[in-house]
Amino acid sequence: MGFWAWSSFIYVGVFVLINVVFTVVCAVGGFFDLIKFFKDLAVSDIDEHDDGRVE
Amino acid sequence: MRLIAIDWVIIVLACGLLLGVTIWTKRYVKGVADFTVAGRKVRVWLGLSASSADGIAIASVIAISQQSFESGFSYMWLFFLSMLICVPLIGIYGFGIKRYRATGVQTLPQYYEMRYSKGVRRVAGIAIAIGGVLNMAIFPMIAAEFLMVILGLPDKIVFMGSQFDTTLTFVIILLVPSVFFALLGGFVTVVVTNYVQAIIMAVAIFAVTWLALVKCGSSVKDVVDNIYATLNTNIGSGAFNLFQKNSYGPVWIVFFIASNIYGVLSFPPSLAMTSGAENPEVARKMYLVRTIFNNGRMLCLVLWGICAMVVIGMAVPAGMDKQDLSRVASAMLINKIVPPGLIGIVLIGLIFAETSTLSAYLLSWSTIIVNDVICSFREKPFTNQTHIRLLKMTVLSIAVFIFLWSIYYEQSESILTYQYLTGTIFTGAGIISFFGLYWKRTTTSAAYIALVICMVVPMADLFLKQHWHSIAFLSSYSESYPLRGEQSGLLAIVLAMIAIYAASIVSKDKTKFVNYGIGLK
Repeated sequence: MGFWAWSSFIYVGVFVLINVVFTVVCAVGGFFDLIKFFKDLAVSDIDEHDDGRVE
Repeated sequence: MRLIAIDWVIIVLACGLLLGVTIWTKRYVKGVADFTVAGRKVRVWLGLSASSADGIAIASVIAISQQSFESGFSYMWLFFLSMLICVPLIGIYGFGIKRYRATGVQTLPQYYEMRYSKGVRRVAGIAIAIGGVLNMAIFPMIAAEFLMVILGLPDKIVFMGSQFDTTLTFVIILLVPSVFFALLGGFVTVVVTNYVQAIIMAVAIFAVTWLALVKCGSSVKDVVDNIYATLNTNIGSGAFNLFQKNSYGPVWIVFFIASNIYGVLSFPPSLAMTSGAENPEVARKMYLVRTIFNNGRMLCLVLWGICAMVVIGMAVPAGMDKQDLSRVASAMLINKIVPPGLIGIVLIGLIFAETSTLSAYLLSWSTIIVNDVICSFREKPFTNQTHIRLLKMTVLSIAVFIFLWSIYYEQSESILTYQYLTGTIFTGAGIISFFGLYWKRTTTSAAYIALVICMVVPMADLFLKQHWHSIAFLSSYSESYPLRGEQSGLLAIVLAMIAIYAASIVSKDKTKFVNYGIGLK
């Protein structure tokens, strides 16, 4: 197996593992952010002039 | 149909959960800002999780696994090469992304009005909307085809005595909930449903990747040896080395990298994250994290295509050609390796991947059409109610267009080529963004020219390829359209860059350049 072949396997293995860990971290962090998101939305007031744009 | 009772229970429960969340989040939509940008209350981890769901549809799954089925690990190295340039340039140095965030705008067309003119804002809004809608217009159609193969469904299904085209039926099944999620609560709903969908999708992707690898061998060494032998036999050294003759070639490499660089400042769904970041430094870090995160997920899908080659082989079944096989290879793999009982989770993960992307994109393009094109013609702003109603009507109109496109369009190249070619339509926006941020001499007229070039060249490729044989003088000149998709795309980008430079030098327009680089760390 040449350089490119074994590099391919190692690269895939390492980054897939990183992705698995990061997905778990994102899911947990996202859950706590979701709670804060709803709390923030619940107390926010309507701004009639704000349509999501900046002029 | 391969589904058993437990699969249906999972599907119904998951859909019920999503429906419940959708209805429940409606109470939080109080104004237009909540509908379009979720009230600007999305924090980092939620933003990353939610955007990971709208970054991947079944089309992306097919596009990536198709590439790896045809080219082995070469696609991975193509992506790596792009990362090698984009990560230091944009993720570490912050090229483009920091200055863009420093402008304080919420959408790209707003920046164009600041930097160029209202006219450029409108034309750019139109270009981005056309590119975005065409880019996503094939998603439901190819997703339908993919799901049909997983479920083992025929081309026609009979329901209550009537015969229906299965593909179009699935297109409707995918579009309806996507429109529903987008209409009911706008971006607030999309953020929350995308978060839920992202988790289910991640479980599905990891489960299929694991099952696929297990099918390739009984130990890690076995898996590696079998994959190596299969790739070597079917493709050769080009399966591992991007620079071999039987791999992508220089045009694809340059086009891919250029598209990914300009795509940073031309793709609104990703830019929404950048605009919403706390400051330019956070915007840069989010780009870096997203790029590395997306790379890992992309690699799982690369493995799907490669494992499909090992498990199902390269023999083309009757009624298919080689491109059909490469498009559905990973669906055939899932059909073969995922047992009933687990197929429900995989199916719902894939459907959620599709609907989350469709709903986010439907909202994105609708927001651009309404906020940046229609509203720019009005002196007096719409009322809240009218504005939201107009957004919802635009969402519905785009969905109808997508359904009609599913009937009209016939795939002639790979999914990846189609996606990058249609992406070129709004790459013109990326070109005028970068030039606008960094070169004070870039003029309004030059921006118009670049936008038009990047619209005309890819659209000519798309439409002429569909009708080449029916136009006599064209088919007498050449048997088929003379350029491949990646050649048209690169041509558009190069011409636009030359044109924006030359037109800016020649033009006497005054420019509204502001150096947003001052004061940036």
